[in-house]
Amino acid sequence: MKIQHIIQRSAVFKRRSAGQGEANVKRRPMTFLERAALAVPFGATALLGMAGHAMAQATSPAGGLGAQVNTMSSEGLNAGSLLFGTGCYLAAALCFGFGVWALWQSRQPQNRETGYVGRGIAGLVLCGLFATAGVWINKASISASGGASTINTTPQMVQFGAGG
Amino acid sequence: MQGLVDFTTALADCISVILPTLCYLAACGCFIFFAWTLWTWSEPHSRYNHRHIGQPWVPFVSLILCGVFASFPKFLSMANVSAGTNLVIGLTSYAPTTPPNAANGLGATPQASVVDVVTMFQYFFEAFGAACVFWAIMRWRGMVNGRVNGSPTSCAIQFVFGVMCVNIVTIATGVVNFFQTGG
Repeated sequence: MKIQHIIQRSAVFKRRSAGQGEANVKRRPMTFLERAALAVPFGATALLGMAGHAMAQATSPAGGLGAQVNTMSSEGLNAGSLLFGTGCYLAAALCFGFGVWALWQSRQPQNRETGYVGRGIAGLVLCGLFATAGVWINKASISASGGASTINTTPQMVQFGAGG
Repeated sequence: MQGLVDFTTALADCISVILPTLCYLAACGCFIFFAWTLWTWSEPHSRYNHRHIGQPWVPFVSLILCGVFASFPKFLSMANVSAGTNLVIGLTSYAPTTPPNAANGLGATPQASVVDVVTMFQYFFEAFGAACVFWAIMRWRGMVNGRVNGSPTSCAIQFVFGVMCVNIVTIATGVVNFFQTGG
């Protein structure tokens, strides 16, 4: 574990010293392929801008990129909510099981003063926390922004109103 | 020009749709991180080896950010109130946004034309700004957790930049008015 701390500290020092070094870096000239690759996005943008009548429809498009991303985000929400629910269920079960086991172990003569009671209490409390995760996220939401949680498993879209 | 406006509006739709999903996943991840870190800290023998044992605020920062992500539109609205525009941000079910008409871009004055062009790309700026704010918070959390090297000041700048992007029309109008000499 001490080794881990040393690695972390050295990482911080490396970051600090990186900013103090001399910035004596010369950019090599770009190759033809790199120039061509750079030109592609600009060219594509120009094509879109010049497309004129080919894409000149200021109407609400159906079946565009947004619709596909909406489908994908719906799938992501399904997968994420299932994973979250499963994770919370397993974590609650683990916390309960190991918490009770820690309380049992705390009564063993050799474990009287090694923090098993604290672990047992923490396990039981965290079991409840995991089992009611949504309620606590909502409480955190009220604390953080003064309003109930609005993000849920229904695929939604951010809507921007008119500002003053 | 209309093609470009259509395309950027479609990109804005993509960002607007994916952002609530990312917020949901981030909120779930932050909560799991919070509660699981507390559980690992309770381990009698190995808790002193935990990488965050000297930083007791780390899981609680994640708990608060979990709440921020769970009500992200309200959080953005509050940021807009602080910015002075009172632009309200909410959630709705997906419906493709109608792109603005690029044929009306030329205003009566050069200043009006600048604002018109900004307004044509308004949806993209707004969605991109909201994503910038989300990303600034995620980066800051990474720094607090020691996973990301960087400066919190850069996150603050990114946050302000995102809020400015969300209020781009107000800002563009203000800048144009600043340069307007009148007479």
